[in-house]
Amino acid sequence: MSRRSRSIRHRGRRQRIAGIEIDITSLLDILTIMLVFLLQSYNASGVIFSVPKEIKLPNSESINMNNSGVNVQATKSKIWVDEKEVLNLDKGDRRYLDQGNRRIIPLYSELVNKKQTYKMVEEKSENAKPFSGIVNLILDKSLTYSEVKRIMYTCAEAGYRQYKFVVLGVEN
Amino acid sequence: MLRAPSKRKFKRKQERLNLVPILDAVFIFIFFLLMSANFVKMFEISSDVPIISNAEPEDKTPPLALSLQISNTQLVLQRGIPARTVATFGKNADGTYQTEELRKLLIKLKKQYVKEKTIIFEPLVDIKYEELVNIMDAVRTLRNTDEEIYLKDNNGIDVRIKSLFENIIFGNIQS
Repeated sequence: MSRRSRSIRHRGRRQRIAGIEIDITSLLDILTIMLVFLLQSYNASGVIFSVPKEIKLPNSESINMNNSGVNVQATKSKIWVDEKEVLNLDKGDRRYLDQGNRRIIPLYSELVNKKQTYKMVEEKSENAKPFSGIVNLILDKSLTYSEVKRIMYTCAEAGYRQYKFVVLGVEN
Repeated sequence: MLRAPSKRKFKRKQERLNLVPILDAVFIFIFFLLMSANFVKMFEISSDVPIISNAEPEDKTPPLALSLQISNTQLVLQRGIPARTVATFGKNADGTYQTEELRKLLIKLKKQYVKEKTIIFEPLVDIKYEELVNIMDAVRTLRNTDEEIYLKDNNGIDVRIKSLFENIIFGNIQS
């Protein structure tokens, strides 16, 4: 330590280390922009669908929020129920139709299972939501009406009362 | 003018806003939004399963009973029981159905039957699901640029209707 700093005359003038101040203005700007962007893309319905990569949804002008229900996803060769694969024609699944080629057997079985599970939970728990009978149809846009009709018929046979066609929103 | 010497000693310290708790809250908010963000906007088009009932309708006025037959070449709009054709709509040069013309007619019908919400679809051919969604959009969407239609609510207040015939029922899923 130098003599000058040790001297009695200069003891009050010792330099204090100044606290480092970070300029957070730019950080706050970024956070604000991010907040606005995220608020815009916030999903108020609380329903999140997983769409298999094989499925390309059709565009629509609809702005109706999604409802929770059993999700049926379908392409030309595959059908999933709540992401569980129930039919895969590529793997050689055959003889999957009955009732004059109107009902898809594996889809029907899975939908009935789901419905029974919901009903069982509904009976055992007071707080459980009642079975809504809603089926969310996440269908590939290349499907034809006869294929869609088969899925709708199977859902109706399994006891589902309302179809919700899941579509992609069009940016205005 | 100089201040009194005694006042010079006490310089008012500049108050700094403590941003730390605000920043904490903003960070938590961002994580919450990131978790619930939906970058692909998905919506739904609702459709009920057709139910045949023998019960007498409460309202005795004849129903509109609107139905739309979709064939390879045209859309046929029908109404009433028994059904009679109101109009037919062909295809545009690009091969799409004339849905805009159909929408214009449906807006006119909606003004006459403001409470009516149901239309029955009867596709007679194997059209693509994408085309079907386009036709569904045409019969149910009332855009902001369209003529305003109002309906009186229970309190007698005019409420603007936001959709045309939004209750779409597929009449031939059993066939």
